Amino acid sequence: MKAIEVEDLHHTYLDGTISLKGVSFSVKVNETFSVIGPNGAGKTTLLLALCGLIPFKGSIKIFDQVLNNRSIKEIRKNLGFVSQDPDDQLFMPNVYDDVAFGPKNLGFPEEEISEIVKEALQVVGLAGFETRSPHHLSFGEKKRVSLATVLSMKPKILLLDEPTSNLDPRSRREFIELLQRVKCTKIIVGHDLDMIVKTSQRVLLLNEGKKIAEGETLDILKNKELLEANGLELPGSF
Amino acid sequence: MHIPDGFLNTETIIITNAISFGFLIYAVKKVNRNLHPARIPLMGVTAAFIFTSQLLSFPLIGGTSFHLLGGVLISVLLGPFSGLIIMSTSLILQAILLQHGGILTLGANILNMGIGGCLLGYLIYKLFKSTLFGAAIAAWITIVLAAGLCAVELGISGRVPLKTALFSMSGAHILAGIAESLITFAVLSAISKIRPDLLALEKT
Amino acid sequence: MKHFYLDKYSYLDSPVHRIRPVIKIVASFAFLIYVIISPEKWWNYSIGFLGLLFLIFISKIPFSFVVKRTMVILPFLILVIIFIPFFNENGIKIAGLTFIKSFLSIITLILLTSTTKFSELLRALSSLGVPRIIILILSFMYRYFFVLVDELEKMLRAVKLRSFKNNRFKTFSILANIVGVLFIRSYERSERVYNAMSMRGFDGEIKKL
Repeated sequence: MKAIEVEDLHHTYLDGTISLKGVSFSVKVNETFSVIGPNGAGKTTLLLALCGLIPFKGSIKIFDQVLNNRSIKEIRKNLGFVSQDPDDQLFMPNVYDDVAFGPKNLGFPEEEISEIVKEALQVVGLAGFETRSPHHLSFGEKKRVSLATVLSMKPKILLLDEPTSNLDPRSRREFIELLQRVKCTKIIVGHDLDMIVKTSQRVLLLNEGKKIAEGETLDILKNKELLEANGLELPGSF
Repeated sequence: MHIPDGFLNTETIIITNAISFGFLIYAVKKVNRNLHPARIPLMGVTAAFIFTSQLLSFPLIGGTSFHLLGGVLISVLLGPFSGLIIMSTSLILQAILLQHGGILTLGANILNMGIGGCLLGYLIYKLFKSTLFGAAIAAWITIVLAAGLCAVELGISGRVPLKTALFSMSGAHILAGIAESLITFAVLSAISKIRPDLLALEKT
Repeated sequence: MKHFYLDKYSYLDSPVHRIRPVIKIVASFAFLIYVIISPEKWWNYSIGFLGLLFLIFISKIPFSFVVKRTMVILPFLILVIIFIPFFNENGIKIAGLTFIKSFLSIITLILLTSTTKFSELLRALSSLGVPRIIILILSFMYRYFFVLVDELEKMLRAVKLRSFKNNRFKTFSILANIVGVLFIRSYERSERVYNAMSMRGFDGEIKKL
């Protein structure tokens, strides 16, 4: 069984722009799979479609279950989506309430929730941050709390939109280590190719809504001609 | 125009609170009935928007500057009852955290600025066939009316002589009303140029 | 705007900070009502005033902060003072009593909100029966105020860097445009927040905070 199977995915915006033109790929269970491409390639759109947040044509299967209006609620219980902007992800007045939001909606009993929150904050290295307010956190801390808000739901698949963007070098390094520690299927959308080299087994290269290549990380990210033909450059470490 | 505690007598407090919270509870029930889940974050962030925008100082003629109240603006964008809930919550937050307006006088302040601005203001806007011009007229009327109501409440409470205060406060707010009117018109115009679809939001 | 606090001093620790929020809210409200309905005797207010002063002292809230906040009633106070002559000999008494009641109310509110974290205040209000939609809106308002102020400041700064003349009309229309853009940004943000909420199981049912 594959974690995700996407076939012939199409999406058009309300104003007529076609953002995804028949994309197909698959993701193995517990694999870290990244989606790269120049701006406007459709990477974030793809992520939103996988979450069922936008309408699409084509087929998406999550753990063999077809994603549609009926199955979406069930499927979302296994997904953890982390937005690029943590201010979109942290909408409660304090960290505890944000991290507890998911588990509460999942129906976990009240007594277990504080343990779940504690554990999630521990994993991201922010133990004791329960009573802090999001607007008093540093950007790096906000990004980590964002991750905690979905880790508390114990998702089978994590979907991350530009997880390391705007992080200073140390926060970035810590976040990459954090990603490496969390063991589950991960889909990462990003421009940070060095991060992708360090975290992902396989990569999907998109350009103008079309799949250009899908394969092992190093096969794609060491291919200078392929990257440059698609508006990207070799990762710094190469 | 946010009346602080201590400026109204007991009777006025009871009456204004009864009216305002009556309307507010009705608005909450009405909005809850057909509530699309997306409307909750929309109302929440819009409330933050109004709360923030009210801090801005708009320069007008002769060295004066005014602040936006936004009752008509919000009702045109999100509908009269959502607007009332948002304005009321903004007033509640201002009273609680900034002591801008009192707690027991919330009824009066919500009546003057919330119900006047959002419900009556919306009616006037509709009377003018939902045009930006109508919104501007509504904005002016609601500000002068709010000042007048404020004077009446203070007058009944024996803090100021009713008739004199009524004329002087309403008169003093004619210019403020014009400012509100211009700001409301200009903001709605700006929105209609960039995202005209958002002006039909209240239909949700 | 990272260091701007709406609920300043609520992170301190004192005996007052440790009192349960529900008790503080009910007591504050009861006191406000008492101030309004009690007979207008000076000694009544003096006891209340001394009590509040004592609480402020042990709560570690600076007096200067309290005094500064009281200035918020100045416009209305001036209004009443202007009209003193209309009430002949009662005028000063009215103005004085009004000021005292106002002052007592402000100190009470400052005590309440400066010794209670906002999220706890909301939780307490919810348990006292305030409708959930109002609690949620208050919560979002508090949370996104700082985000929007940041966005507003960025836009204002950008305009300042590009304008060289001081034209009142232009400033007015630029500000109105900024407010319009701010609304659009708020709307778009609310859509993204809704996405985040849906992904974490939100289906419209406002569960207990």
